[in-house]
Amino acid sequence: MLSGNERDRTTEISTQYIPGWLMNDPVPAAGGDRYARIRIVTALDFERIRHSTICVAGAGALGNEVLKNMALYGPRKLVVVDNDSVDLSNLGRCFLFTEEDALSGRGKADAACESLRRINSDVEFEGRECDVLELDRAFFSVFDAVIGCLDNINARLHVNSNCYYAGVPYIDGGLDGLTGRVQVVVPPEGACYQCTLNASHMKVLDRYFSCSGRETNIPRRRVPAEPSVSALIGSIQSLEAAKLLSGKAQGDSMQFYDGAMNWLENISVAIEPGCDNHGEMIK
Amino acid sequence: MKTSRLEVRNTQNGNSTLMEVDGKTKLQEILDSAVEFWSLSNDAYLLKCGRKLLSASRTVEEAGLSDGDVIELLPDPEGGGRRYP
Ligand SMILES: [Zn+2]
Repeated sequence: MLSGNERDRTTEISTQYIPGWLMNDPVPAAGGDRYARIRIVTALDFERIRHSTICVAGAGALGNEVLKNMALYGPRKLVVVDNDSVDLSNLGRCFLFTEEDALSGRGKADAACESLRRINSDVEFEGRECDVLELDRAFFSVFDAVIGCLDNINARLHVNSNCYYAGVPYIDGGLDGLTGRVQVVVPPEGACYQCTLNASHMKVLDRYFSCSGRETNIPRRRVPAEPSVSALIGSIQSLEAAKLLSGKAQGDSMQFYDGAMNWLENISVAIEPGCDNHGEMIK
Repeated sequence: MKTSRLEVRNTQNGNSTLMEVDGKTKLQEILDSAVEFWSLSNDAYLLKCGRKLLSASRTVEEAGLSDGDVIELLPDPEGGGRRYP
């Protein structure tokens, strides 16, 4: 046990080495509500994020990551769209799903919402078990932002154009093995997802559709999804959504990541003169 | 017509090749030739120059490319990690 004098000396020595800037740090002491630490990130407008309504289209590997991050921000409402059911092969990448979900073939949107309610009960979660292609401009128009975690070009084109015409920002993400990309689309003046496409994308689309315009039965390639890259790309999408909701969107750009070559780059995107989405707005 | 030698780089493996093109060559032709040259899979690709995405519908001249410029071929990641049927 220390004597009174020794205790005083110890206190003196221990405070002597605390830098002044730390003594005056405005960060509040531990405690407060669950958003206490996020709120002091002054680069974001947390109150605007808290009052937002967000749609996440696709609840696969990327969707799981985005949903987790967005749930932690605590928006007013988060709508999850996915028409697929949970499969055992999802469990290696999708932490919102359980073995029970896979064994019972539970819908991904429903299973994700249940896990998300445990993460943050402040948020209203709604699962929509339907094909995103069935959703129209009226559906997308109610959101402050739509985050795309989709698995094919056709679904992306559908969400992109509906959001663009509805005037709703769209944050698209894509993965393939160790590569990934994020594009922020801010209507009415920014370049959109369709602006980035070329004939190589059309060839991929052609493989999915027959001459009659209907989806073919040709099996599609399984795009590899690596959990760490999913987490990285999903985090970039979530941060872009938070920036966008805070009025700090950086449209006309695409962030591209290559985990094999160790690079992450911001690439500028311009409106493609032939893109359908930048003519006269459809009334 | 004046021709230019462009360096086309494959970002997936760091390899590059020189292509001799004229000003009227569409960038889509360059993209298709590069995919064929490296025997790449029939997937979606993008072209960029520096930190700018190139529109494949433009010509070399319209894109403002000239002798010695480096353009890069990127695979466009299509998936979201969902299970495919
Ligand atoms: Zn466009």
